Amino acid sequence: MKKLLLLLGWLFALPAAAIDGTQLLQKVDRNLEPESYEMYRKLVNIEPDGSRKEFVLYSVKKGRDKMVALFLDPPSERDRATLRLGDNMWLFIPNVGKPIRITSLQSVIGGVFNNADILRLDYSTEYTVDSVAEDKDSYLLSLKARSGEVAYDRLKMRVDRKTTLPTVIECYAASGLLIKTLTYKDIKDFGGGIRRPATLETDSPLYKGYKSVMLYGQIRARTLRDEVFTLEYLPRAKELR
Amino acid sequence: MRRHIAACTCLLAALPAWAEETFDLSAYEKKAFEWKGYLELKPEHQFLRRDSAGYVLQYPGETRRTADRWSAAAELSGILRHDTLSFSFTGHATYLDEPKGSASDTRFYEAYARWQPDSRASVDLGKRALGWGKGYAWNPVAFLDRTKDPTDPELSREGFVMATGSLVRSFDGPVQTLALTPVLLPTTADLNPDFGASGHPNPAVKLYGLVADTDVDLIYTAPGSHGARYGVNFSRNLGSSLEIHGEWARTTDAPRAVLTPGNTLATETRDDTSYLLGLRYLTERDTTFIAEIYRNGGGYTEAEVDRFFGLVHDSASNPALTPIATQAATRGYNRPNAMRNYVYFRASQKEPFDILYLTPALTLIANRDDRSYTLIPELAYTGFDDLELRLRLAFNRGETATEYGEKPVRSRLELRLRYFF
Repeated sequence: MKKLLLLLGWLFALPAAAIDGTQLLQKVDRNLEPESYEMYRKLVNIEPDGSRKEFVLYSVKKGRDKMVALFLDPPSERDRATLRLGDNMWLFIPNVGKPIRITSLQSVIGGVFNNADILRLDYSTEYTVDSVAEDKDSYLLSLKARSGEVAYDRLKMRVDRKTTLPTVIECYAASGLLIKTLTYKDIKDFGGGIRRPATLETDSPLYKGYKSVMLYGQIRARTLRDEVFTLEYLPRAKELR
Repeated sequence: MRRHIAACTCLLAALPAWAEETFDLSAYEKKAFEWKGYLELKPEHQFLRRDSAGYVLQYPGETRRTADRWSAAAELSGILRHDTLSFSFTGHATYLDEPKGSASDTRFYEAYARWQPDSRASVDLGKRALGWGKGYAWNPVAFLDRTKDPTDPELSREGFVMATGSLVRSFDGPVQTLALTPVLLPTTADLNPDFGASGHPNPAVKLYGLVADTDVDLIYTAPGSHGARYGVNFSRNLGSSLEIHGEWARTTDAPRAVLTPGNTLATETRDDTSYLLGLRYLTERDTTFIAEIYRNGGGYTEAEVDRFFGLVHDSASNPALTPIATQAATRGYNRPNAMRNYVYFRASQKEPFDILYLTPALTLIANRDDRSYTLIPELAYTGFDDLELRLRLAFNRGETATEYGEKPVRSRLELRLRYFF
C-alpha cells in the first residue's frame, strides 16, 4: 500500500515538461468546437439590481482565423455583424450601410462582453503555452498572448483531466491585473461528436456586482467558402443561416 | 419540516440570477420573410440667432428668438427570400412640426431584388444605398450616394435606383481578397431625377482589395450626368487600437453655382480634387477618438461665401433680392459644409464610471477657413430593452459672415428616443 501511495505521489509530481502543453491546448480547442463550425449563442448581462440584457449571436468560423458573428437579438442590434480575418476586424451596422474597420479592442456592444468573447478564435491560435502544471483532477495551463492584438495578455486555464475541457479561465492584463474569470459548466451533448460545456459564466472585478453568462444553443461542424469571410459578403451575413 | 423549508428558501435565494437561463433556439429559426424597424420621437428646442443669414432665409420678417420642433419617424426594413432570390426594402416615414408648419414624407430608402447564385457572386436591381468610402463624417469618393450629414453620420440614407453586381474572390498571400462591383445608375425624367442630368446610363465600377491587411478601393464613374470621376480610398489598422483611413477623389467637369458681383447666379464648370485623412484611436480606458481632415475641392472660398451672406442680409431690407438669395442657397451655398477645409473630431467614452450602456460623446466640426465651428456634446443610453435614448446639445459658433456664425440656430437641445421592434 505504501508503495502504491509513493507511486501515486510520484505520478502526480510529474514535471510539467512531461506534458506537451501545445498539444493539450489544441485538444482543448477541438473538444470545445470543430475548427470550422456554425454556432448559436445567447449572451446575458445581469446587473447588480437584477436587470438584464440579452443578446443572441449566430457565428461561423473557418480554419484558424476567419470568423463572422451576427446579432439576431435584441432588435436594436439585429443584423449587426462583425468579421474577423486574422488581425483584421470590421463591423457592419445596418443603418450605416457599410462595414467599417475596427481595431481588435473596439467593443461592438456594451456590457461586460468584449470582442474577444464574441470573436474568439482557438486558444492555441491566440496563445502560446508558457507552462503546464497538474494535480489529481486537472491540468493548469499558463498561456501567453501571441501578439498585442489579443485582448488578454495572459490566461490561467484549468482543464479537466477526464474530459480535456476547460473549467475555469482567469484572464489577466499585461500589468498582471485580473480582468475577468470565465467558468465553463453544464456539459452537454451537441451531437456530431461535440460534447462540451453549454454555459460560460463571466465574473469581472472591474464590473463589481455585474455578471454575464453565455449559453450555447447549437454547435455543429460547417465549412463555408473563404469568400464568405470578406468585407463584400459581411452585409449579407444573415443569409448564411 | 419548518427547518427544511427555511433551508430550501435560503438555497433558492442563494441561487445565482442565471440559474434558470434557457435558450430556445426555435425562436431564431431563419424565416422566408423577416422584418424589423424602429419608431422615433425627437423633440427639439432651438435658440435662434436673429441677425444671421440663416435666420433671414428661414424666418423672413419674423422676430422669434426660439423655435420648438417635434419630429417623429418610423423605419421598417424587411427581406423576402426564395431560393437564390431575395427582395429587401427599407421604408422611411417622417413627420415634422415646426414654427413654419408641419410636413410629412414617406419613401423607400431601399427596395431591391437580389440574385445570389453563390457566395462569390450576386446581382442587385432596384433602389440601393451603396455607402462607398472609408471616412466617418465625409466621403468624397461616394460618387453614387446622397450626401451624409456629418453631425449624424450613422443615419440611414436614401439610395438611387441602379443595377449592381458583385464578384468576390479570396486568395492566400498578400492579396487576400479582390471584389469587383460594376454599377449602372440610369437617369431619365422619372428615374433618379435628383442624381443629375437625365438621359445617361452612368456606368461605374469599384475594385476592392484587401492587400497586406489594408482595405483599398479604386473607383471610376464614367461621364454621363456628371463628368468622369476617379476615387481611391484605404483603411488600415496600425496596432490593436489605432485605425487610419483616407480618401482621394478627382471630379471633372463639375458644375458649380456661383454668385457674380452683379448678384446673378452663374454656373461654372471645373475639375476638382477632394481628399480626407482620418484616424480612429481607442485608449485603454475605452475612449474612442475619431479625427478627420477634409478638403472639399468643389467648395466655396471665403470671398464667395461672403458675397452670399451679404446678399442674404441685403434681401432682408430689399425683398427683390430674396428670390436670387433663396436660389443660391438651394443650389449650393446652404448645403452642409459648403466651403473648402474642415476638421472633424469626436471623443466618446464607453460606460464611464462603470455605468453600463452609457456613452457620453463630444463632437466638433470646424471650418478651417473661417474658424467657425459646431460643438455637440451628447449622452446616449441603451440600457433599456429595445429603447435607445440620446440627449444632445449643439452650439454653432463663429464670427459674422462665417459658416456656423450665420446658422439660424445658435444653440439646440434635442432628445431622441428610438424604440426598436
